Amino acid sequence: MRINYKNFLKNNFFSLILSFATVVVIFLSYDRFIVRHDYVVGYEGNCDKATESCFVGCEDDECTVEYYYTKMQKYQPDLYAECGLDITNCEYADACLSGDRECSKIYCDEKTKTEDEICVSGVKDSYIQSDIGSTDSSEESLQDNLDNNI
Amino acid sequence: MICYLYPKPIFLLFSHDVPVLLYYAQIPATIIALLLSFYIFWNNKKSLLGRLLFLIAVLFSIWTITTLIVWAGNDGGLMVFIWPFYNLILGFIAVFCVYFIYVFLTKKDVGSGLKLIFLALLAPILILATTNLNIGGFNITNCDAFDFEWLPLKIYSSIVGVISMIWILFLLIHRHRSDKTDFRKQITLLGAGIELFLFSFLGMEFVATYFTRIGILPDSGLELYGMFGMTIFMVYIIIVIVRFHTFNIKLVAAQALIWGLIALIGSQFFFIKTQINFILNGVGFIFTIILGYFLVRAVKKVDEQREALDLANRQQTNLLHFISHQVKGFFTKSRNAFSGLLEGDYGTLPETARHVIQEGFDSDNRGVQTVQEILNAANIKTGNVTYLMVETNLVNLIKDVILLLKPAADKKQVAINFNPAVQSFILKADTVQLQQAIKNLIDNSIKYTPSGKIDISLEVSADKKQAVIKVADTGVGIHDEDMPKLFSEGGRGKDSLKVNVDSTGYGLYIVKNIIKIHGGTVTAYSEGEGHGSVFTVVLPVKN
Repeated sequence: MRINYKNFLKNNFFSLILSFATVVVIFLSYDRFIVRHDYVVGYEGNCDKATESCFVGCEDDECTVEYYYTKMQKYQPDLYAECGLDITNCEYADACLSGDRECSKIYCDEKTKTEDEICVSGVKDSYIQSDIGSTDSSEESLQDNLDNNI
Repeated sequence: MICYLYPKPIFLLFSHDVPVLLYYAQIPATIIALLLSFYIFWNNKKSLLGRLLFLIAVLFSIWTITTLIVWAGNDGGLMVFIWPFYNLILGFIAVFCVYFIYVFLTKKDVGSGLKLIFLALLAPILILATTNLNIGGFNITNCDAFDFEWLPLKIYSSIVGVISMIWILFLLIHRHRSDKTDFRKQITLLGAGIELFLFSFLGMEFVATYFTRIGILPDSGLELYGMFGMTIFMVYIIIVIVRFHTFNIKLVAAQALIWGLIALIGSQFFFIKTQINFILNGVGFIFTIILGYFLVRAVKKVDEQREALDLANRQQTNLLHFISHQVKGFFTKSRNAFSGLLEGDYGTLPETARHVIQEGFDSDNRGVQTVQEILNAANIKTGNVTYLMVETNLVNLIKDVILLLKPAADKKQVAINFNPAVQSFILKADTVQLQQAIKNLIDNSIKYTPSGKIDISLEVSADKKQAVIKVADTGVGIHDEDMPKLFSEGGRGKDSLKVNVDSTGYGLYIVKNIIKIHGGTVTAYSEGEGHGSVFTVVLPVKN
């Protein structure tokens, strides 16, 4: 039996296009997120409330135990190279390093906090540190401290 | 990256750190949807409706399984891969639900234009699926990607959902209004099911993720309640299958009920904490399986008996059909012989024989008409009538019928008056069938009017969208008791045989069905016995 390809394409263009597009999306998504890890990872970085302006978090529902954090974002491949799969106990995760392609460290202040969030600070000003390539003195000092620790 | 605050799941899906409702809502809904839709698909693989239902169930199942992985998991890498597909699955489900309803209502595939509209609706979601405009990152502290979703695309996929709901509602209402058959009940049931599913599934999902995104809700747990929508949809599917055999499936109600119960009880094993509850649930689980087996067997037996009875009925109907045809043939041959004698084909008849032969000719004529009426009614009932709708002049059609029946009326000295309000009125109709219906009505009046007159009128509504035909006679009238069964199959009046010995009881039944097919209505009115009757036919121009 001969197949009339013209008719086949005409009758099935909807399912063919959708199937093809879905396969392409799955392939591209796999390539981006599983192969190249081309995405940003957000997490809570450690924060010293004595010297920095920190967000306040609660360890439990009743908030009997508080902890303090900054909002960190790093490019996944950089974070993976610095800390591996688990960032627990990885101090590189708490700062933007010179080799980081995308990185931001957000401290708590009126601009960065939402209505539900509380800031705690031992210093007079809070600030946002981002783009490690910049010449912000506070970033440099942070970098120096890290280098010394290493 | 690992979500460092969350425990590692067991087999990707199970974790003690997720709401119990997650398993209760997702697992039964997924199992029921997959089993039922696969069963429907498997029973009739060529049915587009069945395939679409299965596709919707598969998409829903992908949604629930990936949701389970995301809720229970702690592998950020896997979750960020899954997350971008949520908008896509939402869009697909919404569009395929519209597609499903179109096929359900029209019983055929949709056209290329509509398919292009479906593609256009899905295009933005497909194109942006793997870009930062869908999702740009993942939060390993909260173990979610709400902070990295691009809200406009999220809203767009929800808008596609809302459009599909409104679209489906419009299609259902439009078809429900125009349809005059039992199919309306199916429209109501399946429509309610699919709308409830979309409303709970898409609505809850949007509210949950949007409110979580803007910080009103701590997590998107609210979306779990939306999963029950699929179970409700499947219940409606079962109802239409059982009541109307919509998917040509039998036995499915009992089987689905049992599978649903097994899934429901089985899902409880995942969150039972005490040993006694485990044992009790286990006993219930085993009992359900055993009782379910016997229930399905019993239902199967009843169904087989019903099928055997249906087959016997069909065979009996076929036999009656065959006999009727044969009898009609004998009547016709005999009538032709009488006709030849009366017309002098075999020489001049003696006057004494002419009267008897005329009697025989008239009797055969009535016999042919009676058998023809029964055959017509049987054909209408079994749906073996094809209607060819063409532009027809209603005034001329009624005039032709009157001309045909005038000899019979004259014989009884019943006058027929026709007073059309217009010279001509064109509507789309099957000329032969509509002529048959009008003929039956007037013939009925002639037969039940011993003397007097029949007034026939034709009026047109002010907007010229419908014609009203009235056949009013001064005959025996209709008894109140006879009124409800007047248009039913074989529905003779209690004294009708006294007036019309040839009554089959099918004449008005045929009228009702033909008029109904033309989108019209027929009603009867009588002030009681001896006060005549009025039959009113309303026919729309467009049908």
